[in-house]
Amino acid sequence: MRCVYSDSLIVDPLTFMQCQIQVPINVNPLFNTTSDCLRFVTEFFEVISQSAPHIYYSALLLAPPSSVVHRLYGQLCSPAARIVNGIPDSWDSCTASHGGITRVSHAAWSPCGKFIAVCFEGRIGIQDSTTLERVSDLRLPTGHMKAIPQLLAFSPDGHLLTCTYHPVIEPNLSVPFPNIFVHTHLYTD
Amino acid sequence: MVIKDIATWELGEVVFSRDQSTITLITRIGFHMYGLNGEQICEGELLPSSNNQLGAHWVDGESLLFAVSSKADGELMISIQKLQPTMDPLLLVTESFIIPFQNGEFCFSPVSFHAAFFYGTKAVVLNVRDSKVLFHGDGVQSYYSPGHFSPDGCFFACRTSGGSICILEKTSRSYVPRSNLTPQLSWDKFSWSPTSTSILCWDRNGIQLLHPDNCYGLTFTRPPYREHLVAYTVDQTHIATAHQRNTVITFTSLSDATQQTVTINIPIRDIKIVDSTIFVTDGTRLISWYLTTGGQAGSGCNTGRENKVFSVHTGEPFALSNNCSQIGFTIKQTVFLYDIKTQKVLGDFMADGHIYHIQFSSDGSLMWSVVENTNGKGFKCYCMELEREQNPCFANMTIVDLKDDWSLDSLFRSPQECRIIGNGSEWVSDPRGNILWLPPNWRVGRGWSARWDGNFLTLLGGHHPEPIIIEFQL
Repeated sequence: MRCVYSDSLIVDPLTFMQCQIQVPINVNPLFNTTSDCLRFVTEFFEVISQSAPHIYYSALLLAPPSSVVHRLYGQLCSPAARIVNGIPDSWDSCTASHGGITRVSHAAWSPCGKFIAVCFEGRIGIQDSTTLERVSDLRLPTGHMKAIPQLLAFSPDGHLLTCTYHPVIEPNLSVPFPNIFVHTHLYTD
Repeated sequence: MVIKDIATWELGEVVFSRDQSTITLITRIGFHMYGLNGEQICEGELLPSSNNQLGAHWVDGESLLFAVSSKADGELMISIQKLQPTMDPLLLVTESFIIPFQNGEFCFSPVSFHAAFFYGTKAVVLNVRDSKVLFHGDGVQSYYSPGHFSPDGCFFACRTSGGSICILEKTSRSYVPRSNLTPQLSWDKFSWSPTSTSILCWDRNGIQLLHPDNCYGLTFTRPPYREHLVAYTVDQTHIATAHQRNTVITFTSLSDATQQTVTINIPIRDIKIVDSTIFVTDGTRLISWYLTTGGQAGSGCNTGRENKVFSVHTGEPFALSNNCSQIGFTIKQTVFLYDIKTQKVLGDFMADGHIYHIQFSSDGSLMWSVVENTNGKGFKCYCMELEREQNPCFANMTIVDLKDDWSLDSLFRSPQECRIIGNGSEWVSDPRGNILWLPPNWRVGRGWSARWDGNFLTLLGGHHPEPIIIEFQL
């Protein structure tokens, strides 16, 4: 699938979507609506991907009142809750976030900008760079030892990914040196 | 698929050569180049070998280059060093520039040859070729490292007051402020996207994506990091909130969200509302104000009525009982129960570990203490019945080991009520199932920052500019 974009430039859908997310509002009504819909989807991608009915139970409830989506569809909201205080008046600059209880030690962009590699405790996550949805997990094959991934780097063509890591010192083992893993990267341009 | 596991002496950043035949590990003091088969090609130290600071590294053609700042003969110098793996010397200084500034934390743009230095709360951006200052941030806004130039050299971003990210845009003559981005989660590191259109920031709490152009005029300065305190009126029509150790109480109407504030001249540690009186304590005394209809503090709000001065030094955690007759506080691993009226410690007990949280039950008959085990693995909850007529007052203590996914709601809210189950959970659930999804910056670790009163949930914490209040409809 390809998209025709403004001056008849043909770009892939992801680039099209990223461009739209970055365009300031108030350009024209159609563009505003498209941009706002994409903003809504990326903001609430996590909950929509888990449970589509929560578009009506949660996402519309949490969307800023000034957003186009809220103005168009806010009356369809059927929440079990009412937000008395705390909804921002408009979208903020944070388009996606991924919070959790797993420590993040480093993150690196792929050269194409489509993916983000993230060091979590004991594994590396490959995330989509628009939604931060996890695309893949890479585990450090350290045998019987645990390892803490520290820093990541993609190769210029995005086909290889390196991870420096430190093995966790365990009883009865000599102190291991830090290592670098060079992974072949599964996601290419 | 792992193609090579290379043992190294130090951790550091890895850079590929353009043809991807080698990788270079850049550590605090030097570099180590390897072939992808694991064979070491060369290693060395940046120049000079001490008192240097790496501001940037980049690949230009077949070469890896470094921008290094160092102090020589009292002058600050920035040198561009080129790695020549098959030649002697390994590092060739291709250019060097004397900079008329003191040494500070340093970053560099290989595109524009601009450098930024941080001094305390100030930042200076300059052109290293002619030492022309392009931005001098020493006004009302503070600037801190980390700072990074965008890959296209058009922007510079750094940390600023309140945990925001300040974006400066390069113009023909200088750098001018473009926007302040306020991340939803806390962060300590960030990086620009390859296209210079997005910023990814992260810390142990998660990752988040910011778009500088997607900031539709929303900027706010965060309050200093302080926990919120909260108290509801009995009829649940109003809520009183305050920042811990601040002096301002905000009253919010739960029907229309209108707010009024009252300034109280003590650093607030806890607040409670009993009947039509609001009680405030700073940990040394208890002061009360009469609430008029509608939940506002009455005409005596500027003076207050000092009820009691405590005769003890109270430590953290700290809790005021709902009827304001007792306080619970801890000193090290000991929990104390103190009667405000008689000014006596009614009892104490030593917990087996670090005490994280204490809480009275709504009727004041129980006190809970959440304690981390001494081995650092897991938590347990002490539940104590309070016997006012006896000494010691703690009776029938029960200790429950908490499961890994415990939260305060799983301890103190019944399954028939709305509650947040699980540490950092994204869901508020009730017997019907998941009824509300919480955005990442609204999630609470174990529920430390969530306060329930009936069907009202208040999410508190320094990362929220103001308390988030949600009413659940049964």
